Amino acid sequence: MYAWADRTDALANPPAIVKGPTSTATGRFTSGSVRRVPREWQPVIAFTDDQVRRLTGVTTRRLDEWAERGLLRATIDRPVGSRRVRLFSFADMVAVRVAHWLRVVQRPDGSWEDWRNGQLVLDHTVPVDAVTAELARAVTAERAGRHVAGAVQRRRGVLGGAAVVTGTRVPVITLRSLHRAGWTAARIVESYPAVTVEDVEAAVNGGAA
Amino acid sequence: MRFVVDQCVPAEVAALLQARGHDVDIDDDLDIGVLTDEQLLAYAADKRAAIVTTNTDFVNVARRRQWASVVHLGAEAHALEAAERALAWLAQHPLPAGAVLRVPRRATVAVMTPLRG
Repeated sequence: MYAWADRTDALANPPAIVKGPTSTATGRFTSGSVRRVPREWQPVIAFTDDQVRRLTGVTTRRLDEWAERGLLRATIDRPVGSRRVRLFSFADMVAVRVAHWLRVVQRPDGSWEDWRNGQLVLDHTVPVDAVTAELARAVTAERAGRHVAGAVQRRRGVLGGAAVVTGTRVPVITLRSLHRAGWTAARIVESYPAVTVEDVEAAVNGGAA
Repeated sequence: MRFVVDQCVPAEVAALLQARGHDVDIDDDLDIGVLTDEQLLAYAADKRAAIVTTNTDFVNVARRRQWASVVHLGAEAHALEAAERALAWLAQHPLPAGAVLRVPRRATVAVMTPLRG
């Protein structure tokens, strides 16, 4: 994608996402025929604007500006009217983080150099390896901390705004109809490894839906 | 074929697709829970994959955008049967990007024309 980024070893061989906590205690990962590996352990390759903002500190507005100037563009980027539907790969996100780092550089004497006001001579190497490792850690932490058991939400643009289990694309209506069809919570969780027994109970017993 | 399986589809369906030798993108490759409908469509279009879903609201978005093809399995409690019938159909027909293969539980499998964007 970006010639300079593709040349670095760190990106040619992306680091394994550091293993997260083994949360098998919840019973969430013990069943299911497809996914035997806890989801926190799995690498993530597509990041939303929102995730990029949380993980790199770069706002969606700035990402828009960079895309318009042709500075940085997400791997997947489709304009819809005035919006952009886009997804960043891990390498894209490293590029975003490095670009953010380059905007304002701290000098060894502690003063700050803003390269936008003129020419900047970098007297140290861009810390791609450190940035990459830091992001891998942040992704792992972000992923592990997302799921809120037993909560239901509506998110704009997710399943047309229908109520879903928080942090997932599992609609409440699906869980309810399976429950009515006589499936137990344990059986549902087996088929839908993204949700927990608490999620199923919350969905079936009303809640925010 | 290559499939992206939405989270509203039971895990058995993904297992079936894999067992039949298809390339399946589950959460291993994609943190699907955080994606909006449009982001999921853009991702599938990028991978030239068909999306498997059971959700009608999502299918409506897919029909408007026409970015990726969609296999819509009806009857959630019987999604596995529907998936079998979808595979039988797909073995004999191509599914163009933007088209929706509708697989109700009993009635005939049907390809729906996309809405105009």
